This record gives sequence, structure tokens and C-alpha cells, in this order.
Amino acid sequence: MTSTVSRFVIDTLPQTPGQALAAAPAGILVFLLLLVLVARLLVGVADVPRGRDAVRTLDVVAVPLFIALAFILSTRVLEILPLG
Amino acid sequence: MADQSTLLPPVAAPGRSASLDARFRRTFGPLGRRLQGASYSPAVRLIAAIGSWLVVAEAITLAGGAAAGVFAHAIMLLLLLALSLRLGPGSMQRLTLSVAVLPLVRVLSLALPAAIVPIVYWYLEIGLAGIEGILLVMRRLNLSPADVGLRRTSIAEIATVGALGAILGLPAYLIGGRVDLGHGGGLVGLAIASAVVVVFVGFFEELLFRGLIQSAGTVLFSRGGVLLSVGATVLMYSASLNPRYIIFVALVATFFGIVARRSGSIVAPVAGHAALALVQLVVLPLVAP
Repeated sequence: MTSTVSRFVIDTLPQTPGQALAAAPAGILVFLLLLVLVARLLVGVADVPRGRDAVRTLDVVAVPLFIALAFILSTRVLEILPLG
Repeated sequence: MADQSTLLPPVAAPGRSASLDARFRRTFGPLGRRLQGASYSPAVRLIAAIGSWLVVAEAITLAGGAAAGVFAHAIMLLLLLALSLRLGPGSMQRLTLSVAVLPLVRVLSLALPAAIVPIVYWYLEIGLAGIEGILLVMRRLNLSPADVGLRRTSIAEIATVGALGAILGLPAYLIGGRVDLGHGGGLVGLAIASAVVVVFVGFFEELLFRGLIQSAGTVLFSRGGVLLSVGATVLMYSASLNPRYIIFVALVATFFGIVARRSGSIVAPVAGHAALALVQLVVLPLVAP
């Protein structure tokens, strides 16, 4: 599954740290994570029926995206470190 | 829950009840009422709608590139989460939330790859986050490991399916072509690549397609659960744009789906998929580059 996508994206991957920082896919992922985290906070404090279910549903996306963010940040550091 | 696998044929009839019909009408509004005239069950209409949305998102990915793909699948993901909340507890919610892992995995697999990281670690990164997503879906739906097919099965079946998977690795390599995992030489690199492929290809994909999606489909569609898991597998492999490889993947997914349905366990399909991926991605590139 990953190899099919890797072939698809491999030619368009950013080649320099600057390009990587400006890459749209990672930016959209971070935006999505922020959106989900804000929604989770709002649902958490709101007095709505089935609020706990909604929080757990949002966790399905929030936690994996948070892990992805950690990988993205570590990759950016790996790209930038040799420049220092 | 542990005594009755959802991979096995359901006791109750699939979703044709009046309450499901009413829920579908409430959720889809005028569209639901219009579709109500058709002879399909709400569950079939639901999966047809979700399937067509996913196909559109995948088409946007292939036509517009990675950024457009991440955007399309992110919208798809949010739509499925909202739909699962709207549907409320039940088999349709289980199906919706299980299928939501597909756009999540696609977002990860389009956004995480980086040129500086060897491809073998792309599998690890995407697989780790994906498995976490599956575990959270299981927590949300109160599913036990047995509910997603993580249960014992006979050693003979595991060995047979594993051996067949290893044999199928050859046509997969010939049809799909060589993938350079970039794990470097030496025993350590080989061991890391093997472990990553076994866990984050074999285990992860079978847990997603056969464990989560097929079991959710079986609750609603009985034998149609296999068809659903095959459809999901084909959709996620369609980015290869290789018709022969897609047909091969569909046949292998059907085989694994039938094995999982017959035994009520995904252990044998995991063994088969892991052996197939190991031969295709690690062994054959080494011995026949």
C-alpha cells in the first residue's frame, strides 16, 4: 500500500530543507491536526450530549496526526542539521 | 463478545430494519428520502456513497498531486467522522468509523514521505500512526481484539497460508516491479527491513482490511464483508496505476478475505501477507535485483 504511494510521490518530494518547510502536504496535515485539536477542546468543555463519544471519535484522528507531526518535525531537524 | 467473531456470518439479518431506514433518512435528508424508493438497504446505500466519495478523493490525488490528495482525503476524513457521530451507536457507525481509517492512512502516506528518510522508514512512520488510529477506533467502538479477528487459529492453516503468501511474492515482484527500500546492506539493515515489512505491511494492512473493515462489513452484509475489504484494498492500491497489479491485489485480497471469514481469525492472512511482502520487498530485490 505504501509502496504504491511512494512511487507516486517520490518524484515530487522536496529536495532541499527550504522546499521541505514550504511543502503543502505537511502543512495541510498540521492544519488538520490543529482543527481537530480545537474541535476536541471545544467539545470537551461544551455541555453537549454524547460529548465523550465525540471526543473519543476525534481522538481517532488527533493522536495519529500528532504522531505524524512528531515524525515531520524530526525529519525537518534531520534536514536542517547538516546545514549547521 | 469473545465467543462470536464478527468475521463469521452474523446471527442477525443485515441492516434492513425500519430503524436503520429511519436513521438513514434522518442523516441524508432529502437525498435519503429520494433513495428510499430504491430497493437497496440503507447499509448498501451508505457504503456506495462512502465508496464513491473515496474514489473521487483518490482521483483528485492522482490528478492533482500530493497536496490536492491530502486536502481531498482530509475533507473525506472529517466527513466520515461527522457521519459516524450523526449515525449514533450501531453497525453503520462501526462501518463508517472503520472506513475512516482509509483516508487517514492516505493523508499520512502522502504527507510523511521525505527524501532524506529511507523508504523502509516511511512504512514504519505510516504504520505506527495507522495502527494507533486502528486501536483508537477499537477503543471508540468498544471492540475487543477477538472482534477484529485477533484470535487463535490452527498452525496448519497459518503455515499453509504463509507458504502460499511466500509463493505469491514472486508474481507480486514481477508484476509490481522492484521497490528499493533503501535499508542498506548488512544483516542489521536486512533485519530492520524484515521486521518493518512484517509488522507494518503484513500485520497493519491485514488488521485494517480484514480485521477492521471486513468485520464491520460482515455485520451488515454477511458475505459482502469480503467484497468490502477487497474493494478497500483495491482502492488503496489503485495509486500504482498498474492494472495487472491491481487485479493481482484484488485476487490476493479475496483469498485472504475468504480465509479470514472461514476461520474467524486474521492470523493466517497476516502470515500470508507478511510472507508475500517479505519475499516481494526484501528477499527478491536481494537475490534477483
